[in-house]
Amino acid sequence: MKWKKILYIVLSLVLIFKISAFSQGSKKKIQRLAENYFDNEQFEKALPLFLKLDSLEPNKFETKYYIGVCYLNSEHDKTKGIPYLEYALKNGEKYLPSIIFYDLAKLYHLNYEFDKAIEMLNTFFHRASKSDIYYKNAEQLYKYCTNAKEIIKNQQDIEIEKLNSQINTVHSEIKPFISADESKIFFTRIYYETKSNIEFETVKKIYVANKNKDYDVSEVIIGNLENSKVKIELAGVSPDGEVLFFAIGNDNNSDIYACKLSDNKCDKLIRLPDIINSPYNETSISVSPDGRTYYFSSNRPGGYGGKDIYRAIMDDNNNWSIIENLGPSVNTEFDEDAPFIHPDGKTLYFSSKGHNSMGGYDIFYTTNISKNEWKYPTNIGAPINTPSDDIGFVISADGNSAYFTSSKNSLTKYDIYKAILHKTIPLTLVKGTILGGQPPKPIKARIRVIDKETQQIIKYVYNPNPKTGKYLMIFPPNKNYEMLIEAEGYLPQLVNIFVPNQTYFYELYQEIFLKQIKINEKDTAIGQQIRISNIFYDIYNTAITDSILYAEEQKRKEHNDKLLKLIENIIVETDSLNLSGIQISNADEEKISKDKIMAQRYNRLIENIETAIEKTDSTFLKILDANAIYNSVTDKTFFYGVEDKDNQLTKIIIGNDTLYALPSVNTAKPLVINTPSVIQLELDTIAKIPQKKEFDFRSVPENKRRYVYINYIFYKSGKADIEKKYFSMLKNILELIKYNDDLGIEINGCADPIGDDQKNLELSKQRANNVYKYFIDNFISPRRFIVTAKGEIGSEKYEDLQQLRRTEIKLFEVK
Amino acid sequence: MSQLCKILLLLLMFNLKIFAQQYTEYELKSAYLFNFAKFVEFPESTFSSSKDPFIIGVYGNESFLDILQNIIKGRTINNRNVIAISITQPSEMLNCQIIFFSKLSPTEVTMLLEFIGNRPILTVADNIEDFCQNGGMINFLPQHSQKRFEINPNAAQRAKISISSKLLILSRIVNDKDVKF
Repeated sequence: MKWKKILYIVLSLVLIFKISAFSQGSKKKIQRLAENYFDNEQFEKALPLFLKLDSLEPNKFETKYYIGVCYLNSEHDKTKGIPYLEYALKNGEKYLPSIIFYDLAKLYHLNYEFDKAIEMLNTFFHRASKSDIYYKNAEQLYKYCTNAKEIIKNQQDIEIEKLNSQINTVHSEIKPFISADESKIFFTRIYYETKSNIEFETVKKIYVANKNKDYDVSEVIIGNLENSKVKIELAGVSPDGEVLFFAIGNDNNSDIYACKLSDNKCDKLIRLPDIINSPYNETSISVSPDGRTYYFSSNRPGGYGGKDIYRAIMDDNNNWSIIENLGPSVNTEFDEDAPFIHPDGKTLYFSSKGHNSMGGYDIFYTTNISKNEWKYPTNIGAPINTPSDDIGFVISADGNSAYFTSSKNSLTKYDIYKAILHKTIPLTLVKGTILGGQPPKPIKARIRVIDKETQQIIKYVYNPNPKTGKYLMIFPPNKNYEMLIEAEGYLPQLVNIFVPNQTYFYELYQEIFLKQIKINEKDTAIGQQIRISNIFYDIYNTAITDSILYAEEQKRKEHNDKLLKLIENIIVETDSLNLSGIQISNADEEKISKDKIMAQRYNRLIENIETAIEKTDSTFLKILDANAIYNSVTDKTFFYGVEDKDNQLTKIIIGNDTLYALPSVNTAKPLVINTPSVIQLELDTIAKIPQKKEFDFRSVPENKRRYVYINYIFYKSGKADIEKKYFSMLKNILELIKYNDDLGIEINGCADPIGDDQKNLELSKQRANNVYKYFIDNFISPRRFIVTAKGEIGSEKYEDLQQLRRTEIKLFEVK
Repeated sequence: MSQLCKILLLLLMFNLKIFAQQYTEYELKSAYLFNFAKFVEFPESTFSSSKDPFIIGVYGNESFLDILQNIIKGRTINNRNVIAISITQPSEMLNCQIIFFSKLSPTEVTMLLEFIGNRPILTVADNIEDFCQNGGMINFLPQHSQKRFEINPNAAQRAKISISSKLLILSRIVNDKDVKF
């Protein structure tokens, strides 16, 4: 108690001393220093000094004015200047320069007080002369304010959510980029340090967040920078999220570099060609889904003023030969930046300070009419656009969600937000996995896509991630494509893929599985098998059917929604179909939660069927059936052939390249029903799907047989029983023909020329029959066999007679 | 405006639902197979011990087996664990309670059915021509058919398997071919 009292006294003595020290000598010193800083536009240094002075002499309007201007010019807390400028204006209007009206208008504008801002500007126009250097800016601000009033009036009902604390921290997060399926978000984090109450920007780092249950954030490491002093910024991300673009340079000249991301590292930076990189600033870039058009911003001369948006187009010979300014409907005398071409290849989002911006950069969108003609841009509106700079807006392939930076809610820092736009764009997003071998593992492969109509052009090269085998492709509707799959250790393979004519957004989950066909483990491969699982999600139709099917289930809805949310997360987080039980996920946790979801999904299916059977509810079963995706798995085995390995390959000519690939595999076309399935059921007749007729191989003449595998069983003299060592081979052949019903089997029994002809013929017949019997006993249809007893073969002079005592097993396809 | 928004939101929710409701052919058939076990009674002699698992054998279709295994993972039928296996040798069929034939020719399947004879094994085929006529028990019909599957109750009866009337109501009833050869 006593001690505390003493402490108080000491403390107050110290305080009194300090204050009096200020008031006596150093007040003037501070004043001089502060004004010095102010005149040199070092507002952040001047601000704390003026605040100190203001606390000493709270009634000086000059100090208030200085503080207001300092805030106005600060990085974050601009609107804090409003009360100071208001005070200054109220108490010393006639002593202050007319620019205070413009300054206060700027703050009102930022604070959404547009009418007050307009009032201030009108006074400014009245007082200032037209030659005032700020006059033009004030006119622009006036426009911003009138635009803003209009935009705010038509404010849209958009849900906006701030991304969670994994991404948004106390530091600033800016410039989000996403892969088209939203599974990855790339962004830049700016770190701050606080010194004498003022925050300074220290470092910028680039991060990638993988979306699974939460966001799994890790830093992107950029290696191989020749000069560590250059500025490096994330400029864009390819739609599949595999290639990053960086703007590297200084304030006067920055160029764009591309780099493939592997393991969150960017090692090999490749500078884009000179046609894109000028000696001026190129800072941001966006790639069309086919990879053949780059949209970028540049302040090179010859544009419409400030930064403009350009595009570079790759010609048929894969050269970047065409470069175009997007023209006056997009570019204005002000800055345009941050282009983002939507995966549909038609809608361009960009930021502009011109058009009907409500202040600084606003986000606009436009659509391509023809070649390089663009519609007049539309302001994306509030609440996404604000009176301050809104820049960096990216949108998912389905058109439903957008990511952007905003300083909303915290005036000091930027965070990344997501907006739900309730829009859908007709596109098909293919999320695939490529696997090979047994047991299946991700393989190194390259996928090229050929537009079947134009045939000539390879639209884009996809390099599935070799660690996971995953790839992502985006296609516009109603087209036939050929995918050329080139995987290490396999012959090139064509796969046909049909994207239906659609008005809604589809997702196709695709899994490609390659396997070499061998009879014995050590043999060379005799063929390769490809299995393609396609799951097409027709979002629209299912929604309608569901609304009919589950109309009575409102009560369970809440519970289901939770489940659905979970499922959605799972689908977002992983591309693998889980069809074959192969889980390629890095984290065990992810796998567990995915398993859980699949189990829940199956639970529901099993329960639904059980209930329907229990109630003998045939309608339910019908609807379930009508909506099932049939034939989603395509299985095809190609045999190389014994003599003519290359004969089977199809020649494809693309541009100047000639390629050979295995014939195209047609995957099932998705069933697109334009009326809800239930209505279709009313018209139901028994669908006659032609059943596969059993083929009779016995009538195939020799010149129509294409042999794919030949092997022999040898015998001791006079014997016809199969020795034990041959059974494993026979079993493997059995397995192969069981799963490949387009293979016929030729069995030729042979004998050596020693002994009686007739006996030898009988012996060769027995030999062939024993092999035939093995297969028949294992229930292979007799129609698949051609059995011949050849009798004696060769001559007595033949050295190794055992080679002649044999049964030939020849597997063949029909030519 | 907000009304429209609500509708859109509702639609969006339905959109999410698709992942729960749209299934693939094989998923659907796997779920049916599993449910058949519940609506079918096997004779007491089927299992030698109470710990024996319930075995579903798949003949002729690797991809189906993968999906079936995923669907039945961790499930039980009458307190028995359910497992799915691939059948490569006919004799392996005899350990199973259900056999699913897929991608096989009618001739092959008929021979396999004869091999099984009247043993208490539920034979199910994936849209194979004349399966029930040839003595098979349940055959899936093509998509958009009036009934989901056809059943030959006599074949089941011969094997001392009783199929629930509920299943019979939902199916097309088929009898053995008059003339057998």
